[in-house]
Amino acid sequence: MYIDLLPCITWKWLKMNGTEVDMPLNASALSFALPAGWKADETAAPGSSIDARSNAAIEKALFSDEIVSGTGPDFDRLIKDTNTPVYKLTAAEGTLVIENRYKDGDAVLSAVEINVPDGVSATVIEKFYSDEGISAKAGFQTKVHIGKGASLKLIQVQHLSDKADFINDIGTFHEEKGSFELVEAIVSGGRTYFGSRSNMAGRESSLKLDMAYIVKGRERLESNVAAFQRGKGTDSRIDIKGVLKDEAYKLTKATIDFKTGSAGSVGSETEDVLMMSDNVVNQSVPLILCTEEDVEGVHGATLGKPAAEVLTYMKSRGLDEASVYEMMEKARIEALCSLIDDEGTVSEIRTFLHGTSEEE
Amino acid sequence: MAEKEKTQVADIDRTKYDVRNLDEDAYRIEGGLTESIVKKLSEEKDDPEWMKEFRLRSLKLYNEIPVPDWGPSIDGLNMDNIVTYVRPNTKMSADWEDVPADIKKTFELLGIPEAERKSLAGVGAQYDSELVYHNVRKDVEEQGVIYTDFESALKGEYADMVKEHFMKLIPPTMHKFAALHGAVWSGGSFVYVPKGVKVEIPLQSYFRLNAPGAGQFEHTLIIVDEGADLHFIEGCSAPKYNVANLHAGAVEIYVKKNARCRYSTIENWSKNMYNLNTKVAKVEEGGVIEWISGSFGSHISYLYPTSRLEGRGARSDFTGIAFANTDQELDTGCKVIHNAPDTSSVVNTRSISKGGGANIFRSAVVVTPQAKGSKCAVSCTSLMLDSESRSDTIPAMDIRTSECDVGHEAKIGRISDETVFYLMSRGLSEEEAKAMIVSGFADSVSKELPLEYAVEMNNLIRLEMIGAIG
Repeated sequence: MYIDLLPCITWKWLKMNGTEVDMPLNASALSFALPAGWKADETAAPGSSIDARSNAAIEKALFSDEIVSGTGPDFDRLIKDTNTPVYKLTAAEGTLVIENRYKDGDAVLSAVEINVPDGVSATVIEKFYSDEGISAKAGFQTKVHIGKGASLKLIQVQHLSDKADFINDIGTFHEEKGSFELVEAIVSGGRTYFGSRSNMAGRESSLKLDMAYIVKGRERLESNVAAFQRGKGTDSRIDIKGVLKDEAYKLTKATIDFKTGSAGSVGSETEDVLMMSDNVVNQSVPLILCTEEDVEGVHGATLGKPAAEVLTYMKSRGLDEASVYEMMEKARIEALCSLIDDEGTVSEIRTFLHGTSEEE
Repeated sequence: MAEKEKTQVADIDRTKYDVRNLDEDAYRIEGGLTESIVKKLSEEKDDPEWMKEFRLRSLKLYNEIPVPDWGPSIDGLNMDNIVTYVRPNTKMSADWEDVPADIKKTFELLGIPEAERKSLAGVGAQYDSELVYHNVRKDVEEQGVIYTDFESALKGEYADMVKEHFMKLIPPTMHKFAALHGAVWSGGSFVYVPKGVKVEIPLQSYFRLNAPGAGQFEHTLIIVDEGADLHFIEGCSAPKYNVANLHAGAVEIYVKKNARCRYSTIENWSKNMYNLNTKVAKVEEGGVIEWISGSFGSHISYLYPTSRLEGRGARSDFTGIAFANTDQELDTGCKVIHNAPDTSSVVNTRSISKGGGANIFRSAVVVTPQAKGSKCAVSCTSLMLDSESRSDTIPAMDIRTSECDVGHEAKIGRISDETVFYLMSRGLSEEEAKAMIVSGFADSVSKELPLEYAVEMNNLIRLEMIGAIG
């Protein structure tokens, strides 16, 4: 399975264009409680005929109003080939929580497709948890169709064993003024492949993506996020903050793609990576692709250790260096907590971080 | 429309770039790329045996290495139609009076002899596959500076030095067009600046490709010894033909301890040219490489000057501008490899796309585990002048030590209406206002060039701005 294709490929020697993954997974049922007004159906996955290694084919599908997810068409095929049921959810106001707790030996695959009707604002919280030390493989796909003037806030929290491999795949389609907000907290996981692609077809549709991660030990995190801005006056904002420790490896691909016709659109992407060990590997490839004149796109990245003056200031306030780093590490995830309006989820994140549900 | 163009570019004459001379070459190898052609080329050039073998090894690699699939399409380039060696009907001379009148006139139109008189320490002028003129000022020569054509260096007293350095920074295994270069290279310059010598005014090589359907594969080898200083300027142009031309040159620069080399290029190939050029500098302790790069011509360009920072405190500055107009896809940028402690690099690029042209800024910054204390700042800004054009930025960073500071920023946008309105309120026409804004946008590059070249670059920008309105 070929996943996370960079939307415009570059030199092969950098090994950033895409990833071949061999992760056998089996269909798995989901259990969740539907909030009032929500509806759920179970359907068979349609699969995909798109070439996962072809950006031209993916682009063509996006212009045909398809939802092409971040990891790409091969993941769709895996869902179909394993007869994984797709839970078709119709959203209403309120919050849906889907908790996935993976067990030792699991090799499971699940998929949901959320339709947010015109004018509806909904929240979905997806949790991917496991006990420490267990060995598991899992895949999860979330596809979202956002209607006119509708909005979905998707909060994902990942706290998996360092022996758990996980593919987390998101794809969205935006009608006029359709808004998607993704809050992504990755606290731990062995090998994580994350992908999110937004097909912003509708006029004045928007994407706000806030991601924070801690990658430690020998964990690996690979992300491929993309805003495909087709509609006039679309707005994307991608902010990624992370910490790399020990012998961690991280690859971030972030793309803003302004297509002809997206006049008046804006896009920004930022990445701030704190590298806390000399043995970590940090790879970043932030793209801005543009075929429209009347747009504004910006990108900024800061990679490395904190500036010496920041350290000096913190030390002058009585903190030793290790404490400063620990504080900065936790602050990256803590910052996301302010975006999560569910106290239970925030408490869980704080427990993962500090061993207590209280803010430090 | 014609009136509009005239008012905007009244003092610019495009014809000097488009002058064509009759094909009166002394020798032209048959088109295509086969072992027998490479052998024949090697015989024509009276190569030493090791070079002949090197060419054949490179050809084998060329045939094995796939065409890159990540950049602009080069499907329109058919190597079976490319003539890899065209020897002009003259020998190299150190006196312009000995250069045939038509060739001399071409270089005079391009301003080369005049620039030599006014502001250069030495000039090499290549016409098709061979140099027709090469000269260096006596006072510079007396400092021990060697500036000669590459063939003379290969066979003369610097043969060992050439053999030691030739295609070591750009091995034929690097990519398909490095292999092609290794197989059919011809012409180019060899420069050696001895320890501690500062060459106060620049040297220049100018490459002119006149023959339709031909390739130019010059090799430039520059060694700036410890504590020395050099500014080298490269210029290139060609008249436009209806058939594809190819440029696959190579530039290798060795910057020794505490030395500095500035390499400036104003590339103005014709828009039927495939410019697949390779440039690499290896910088030792305390050394500095400065790349100034202006890309205006070519149909397709793949150009990424590479800095290998191999010694403590080595530095690389890259300042580039690319202007893509109709029928142009310019895939340009740079690579910086930080491979020693306390190295630093700055990348600052500007690109302008109009008339359906495509600019792709592509870069790679690699910081290896031993490059502790290194710093890198990358900034690229792109201007879109219409919605038929394209502008992509593809910067990659691979960081393998925490003891570093890497920053990247990119911005893409259009000319702001407010700025145009302000300038129009001061009496400028809309065209003049936009041309002025674009020139200002390119200022970071032009201010790094000697005055004559900055003027040339600004003229090229204004020339490309014809018809930018409406």
